[in-house]
Amino acid sequence: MLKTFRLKWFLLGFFFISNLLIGLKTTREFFFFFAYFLLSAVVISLLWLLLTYFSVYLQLSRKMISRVTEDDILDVSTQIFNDSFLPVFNLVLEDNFSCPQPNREKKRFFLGYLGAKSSREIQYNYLCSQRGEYRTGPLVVYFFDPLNLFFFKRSFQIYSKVIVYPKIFRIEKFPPLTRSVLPWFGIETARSSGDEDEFYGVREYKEGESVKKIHWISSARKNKLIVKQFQLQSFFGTTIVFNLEKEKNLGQGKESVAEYIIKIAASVAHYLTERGVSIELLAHIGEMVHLPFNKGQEHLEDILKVLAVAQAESRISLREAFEEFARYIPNNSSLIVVMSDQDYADLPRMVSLYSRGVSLIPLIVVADTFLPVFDKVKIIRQTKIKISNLVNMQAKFFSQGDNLSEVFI
Amino acid sequence: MEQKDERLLLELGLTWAAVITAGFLLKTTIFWPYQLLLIFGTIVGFAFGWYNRQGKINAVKYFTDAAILITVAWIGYRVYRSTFLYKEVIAILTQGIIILQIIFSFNFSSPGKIAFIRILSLLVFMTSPVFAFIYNIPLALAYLLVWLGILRFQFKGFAQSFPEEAPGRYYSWMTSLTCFLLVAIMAWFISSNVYLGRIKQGVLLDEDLQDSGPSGGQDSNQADKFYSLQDDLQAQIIDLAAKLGSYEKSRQLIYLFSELIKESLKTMETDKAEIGLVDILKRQGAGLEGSAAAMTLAKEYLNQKNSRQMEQNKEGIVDMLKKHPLGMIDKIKIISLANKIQQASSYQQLKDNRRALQNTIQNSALGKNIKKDLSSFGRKLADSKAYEFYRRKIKKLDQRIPALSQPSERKIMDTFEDLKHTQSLNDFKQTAKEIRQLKNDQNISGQPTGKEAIKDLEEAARLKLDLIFAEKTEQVRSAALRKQDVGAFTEEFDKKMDGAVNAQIYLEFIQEFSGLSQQNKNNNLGLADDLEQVLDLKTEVHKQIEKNRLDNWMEKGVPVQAKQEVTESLEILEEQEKSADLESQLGELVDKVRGLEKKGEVSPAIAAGLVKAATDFKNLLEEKLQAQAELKSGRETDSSLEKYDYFEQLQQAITESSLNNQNKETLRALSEQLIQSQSLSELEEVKEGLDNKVSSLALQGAFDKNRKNQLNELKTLLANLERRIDNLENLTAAQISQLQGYLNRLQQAKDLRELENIAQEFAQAIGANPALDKQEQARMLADLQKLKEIIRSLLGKKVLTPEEFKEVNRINEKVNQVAEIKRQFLSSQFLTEILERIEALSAQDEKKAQELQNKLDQLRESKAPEEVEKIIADLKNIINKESEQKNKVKPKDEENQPEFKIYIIAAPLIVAPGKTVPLKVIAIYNNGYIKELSRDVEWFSTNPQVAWVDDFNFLRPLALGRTKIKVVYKRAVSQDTDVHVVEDLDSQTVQSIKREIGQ
Repeated sequence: MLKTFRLKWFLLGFFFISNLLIGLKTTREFFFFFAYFLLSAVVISLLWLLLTYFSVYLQLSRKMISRVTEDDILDVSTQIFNDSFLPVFNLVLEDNFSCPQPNREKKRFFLGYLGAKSSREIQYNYLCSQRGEYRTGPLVVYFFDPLNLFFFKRSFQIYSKVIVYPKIFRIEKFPPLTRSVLPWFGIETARSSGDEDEFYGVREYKEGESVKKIHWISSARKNKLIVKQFQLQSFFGTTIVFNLEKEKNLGQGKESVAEYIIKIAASVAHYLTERGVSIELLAHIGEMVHLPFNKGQEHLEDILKVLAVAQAESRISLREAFEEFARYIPNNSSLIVVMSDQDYADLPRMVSLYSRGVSLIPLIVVADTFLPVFDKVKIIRQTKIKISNLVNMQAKFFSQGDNLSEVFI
Repeated sequence: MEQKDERLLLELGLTWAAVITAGFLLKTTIFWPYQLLLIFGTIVGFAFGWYNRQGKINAVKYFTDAAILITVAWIGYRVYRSTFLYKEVIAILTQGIIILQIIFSFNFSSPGKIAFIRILSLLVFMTSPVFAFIYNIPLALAYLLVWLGILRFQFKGFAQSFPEEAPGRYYSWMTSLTCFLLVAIMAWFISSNVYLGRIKQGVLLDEDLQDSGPSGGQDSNQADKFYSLQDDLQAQIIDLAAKLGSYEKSRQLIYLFSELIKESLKTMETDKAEIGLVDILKRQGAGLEGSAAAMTLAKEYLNQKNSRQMEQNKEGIVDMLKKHPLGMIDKIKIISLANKIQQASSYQQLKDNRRALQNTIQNSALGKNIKKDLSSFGRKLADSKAYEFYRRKIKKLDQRIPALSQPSERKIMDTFEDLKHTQSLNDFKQTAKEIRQLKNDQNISGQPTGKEAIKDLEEAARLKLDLIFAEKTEQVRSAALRKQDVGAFTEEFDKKMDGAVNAQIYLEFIQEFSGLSQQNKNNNLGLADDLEQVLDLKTEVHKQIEKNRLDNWMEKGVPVQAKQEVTESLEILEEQEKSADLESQLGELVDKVRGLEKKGEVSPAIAAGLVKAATDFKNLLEEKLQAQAELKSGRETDSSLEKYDYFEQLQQAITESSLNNQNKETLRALSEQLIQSQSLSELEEVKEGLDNKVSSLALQGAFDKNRKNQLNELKTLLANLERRIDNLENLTAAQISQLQGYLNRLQQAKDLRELENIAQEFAQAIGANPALDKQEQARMLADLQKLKEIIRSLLGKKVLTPEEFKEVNRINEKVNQVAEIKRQFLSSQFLTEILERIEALSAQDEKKAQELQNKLDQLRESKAPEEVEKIIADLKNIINKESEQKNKVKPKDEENQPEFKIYIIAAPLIVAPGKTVPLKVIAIYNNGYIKELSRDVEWFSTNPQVAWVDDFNFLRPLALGRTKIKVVYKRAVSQDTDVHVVEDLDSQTVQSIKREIGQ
């Protein structure tokens, strides 16, 4: 407290001493009175604070959801209950959350009065601007004296965990997945109409539907137009690969290569999951992460969790990482590599997986655009030319400031 | 408007309120241009700052910085050019601060600037009382409340307020206000109860207090003012004395004046001197020019003197408390009580506080001597205050009485004059009677003004009686102190005295008093007469109370005739001197009242009240008589000459002992040394010498084995001789008595030569007697020879008789007692000294202080005497070493001696030729230190033929005339002091003056 109020202590002391000295010198009662006034104010404030501090028993609890997406608002509700027989005046409740932008980590609320055995609920929210795993807390209560000269602080070690998933953008159209893996139950299947392939059931024909979808045999049997419904079976296996190399992470904060890679990977994973594609994640984020093939919402959550906390801490190059990854990539599958254009030299190594029937979809972040440069368009064009020369394939290019979902149109 | 702007605007408003309120606390006559500037300047500044809150015009930053620099330089220049008187300096600084506030207001939206403006306003607030005549309290409170608002507002700066306001949202504001009031009350309580010694002139700033009005600067120039007042009065009196017609009168006037200005004067003495002075001046009538002015001056002077004495006594208490270790609480309590006494607004309050002060001092953990001194200071303080009350009352009466109607005015005036001249109990009784008569006089007490005047008279009389009583008790105290010296008995006596003085009911007083008279009896103080006077005085106080009660009852509807009867019989009752008489007289009185009741002249309730009051009155008289009887019984034993004082007892034992003169002298000298020894070691040495001496005397007696036989032989021989002489026939009675005379002389012979001579004469007397039978002659001569031998052997050995042995033992015992008392005294002195050292040291050298403290603790715990001695020796070493160092440092201090002024303090400057007068010179240093100068002063006289001053500071008047003397000490020169050498007052004149003033 002494440290917190250094200036206040100094001023109080200065005015007290100078008043006392002037009083002693001039024998004017007023100066003595004012000196004693300051002294009394300090004494009473401190006594008040001590009484409050030692007599008041507070119980605090916090309610909030534990998952949120980047740039979303996190609603928090904190309950404060005064369990003592004395009311509390002038207290400030502070909650700490490390996620928001700097200087907005603390939320403070001033409560003029909290009656004995009564509780109050405070609702507030944070804007989660940065993906990651965060902890909110501790809750801190400041007890102020009525003159607002000093305060005592009491921390309540109440923490809540929240994971902020990376932001996902909508993908309109994704390059077709040309390869697939055999499902584990071994039935040979083939895509026929582009619809979902797994039989799901039948239903009545709705107007406007393609006539091709009518299942004539069933229609004849039921004497009405019947269409057959299929569900996509995950015989499409896709591996998403990225390497968050520290050296090559250009840009600042959210506008950095690694953030873009994470965002793209998350969006792609989301898109593919929605389409029932089985996804495998291979990444290097300072350590190697391998999430084996699976599909469905839960798997997506797992992937997003990894992506939420992933940091550009890798010390190895994509090539080296790929050597590690290669053995996990099954034959006849699609490989989506989210990478920086700085690693374009490593592409040939990946292309070589053709021999194993792996089709490659490179999603390339143009790193140089994250630097303060003037002619972004030129850089992008040059990169496109460079990489297209290297491999003949359908690569997607992303640069800083792009509307990412537009890239996939 | 954005929330941020709203906040800024609110803060701005509060700050502006603070700045303006503080600005208008300053005295308008000096500061009005600045106050106007402050209003308009801050309005413009804040408006500009508000407009520029986004920082559009960045250059304002540089402009304000430049303006601040210029202002600071301007302030510095003005201070440099000023007179450096603190008021002027503060005024310049305050004006500077106002300008700075205006400058800051232009850039208030920069971080921190607005807080800075507020702090500057606090500085203005602080300087404001220096310039205000009467401090503007409502405005000051408003200022503090604005601060409360600012502090409250900062809650919101710290945290955003709660989204939805819950019930009880005003509670927080209410608590803040309550807290503020609590703080104000506490501050007021402390400031009215805690007294801090004021810093004297010249420590921090040079003061110009001459113009500071009645509220400030009471201290540092008080001595100056006081002495200048004294000088004025002196000039006036001398002037008047010259104008007075009769030589005698002028003599009296000057004598009384010289009495009046004595420093050590007691309240009643001052009163006497003043009354005498005023009487002389009044008797001269209006014809004497300047007498009225002199009287007012004298009154003013005495008022000042009295308050000065009060101040000095209080400072005495404060100084004593500073010197001696005592718990903080006790210290504060004592000082606060002393303060309360000084500031008491009613007599009852004074009495209560006086009692409380004495109790606190007695219960505090201080040494006996310190307690004694402290309570003496306290008593003096209270007495001075009581005197002040008395003077106030007199002043009030002085104003009130002339406003009364003619006949009653004269009567009251007479009584009033009598009251003023009341100096003793008898005077008082007379005055009280007069007052009572006035009260019964319907013409006077019928009028409301007359009634009030009588009431005031009564109160003044009561005050006067208390003053007389206080003076008497002081006398008794000092007499007792002289008789008993410091010790447990004195403490006991003082305690009882305090009890007696402070007793509220008579019974309590009587109890304490009987303790006093018991002690008087036991310790042979010989204070019976004085104590009787004390008893009389206190009884009178209570008598007055009882009489008033009776009067009150009688007022309630007793017819005039009956009233007189009752009053008369009460007077008779009062004069009775025996318990039985009292009883019978009371009986008569009661009968009388009952008779009146039967007649229907008095209602039963009043009759019962009267009887009750009369019985109480009688009981009071009875108790007094008992106490008096007890005291008198004590007085009879006063004649027994055994001294209380151990030292005197020792001296007496030595004188009365049958030791030879040489031994007596040695013992006496040694015992003198013993009592005068200054240190414990010296004491031990002297004690050892005395012990040796005494034991050598005693040993001689104890180890002589033949002594008893020889003494027996001597006895038989003497008896034989006596018988023989008796049996001698043919001798005349004269011859027989001659022979027996020889025998006696022989027995008492002190040395051998005398013995031989007497024996020779005796033998011749026997031989020469023709009437003696030859045989008988020879037998007698043989016996005489034997006797001579025995006495010779006894004398040669200097053997003590059993009586002498007893005496020696007694002396030994007394020596031990005296030595023990002296030892206690010395060790307590030594311990006090050590404690003081520790206190002084702890400020400079904690390590050493700790060392001393440890040793002292050891000393307290030690049991064996050797250990004690060793520790004391260690302590002495430490202290000596320390004081040596101190001595080395000292000269340095003297070099930087501060400035001082010197004064000649001489009470009688009207002297007769040939009579020397000691003059005192004091130096008052700027830091308040007052030193008496005795050496190194050089005297100058303008007319050395009339009077000069010798090297020992004695004024030596030589011839009639006037001269001026002054004194020089280290380049400081005192003011000229007039010396009037006038003819000597003959003893008759002195006597007449003394008679005049009732001494």
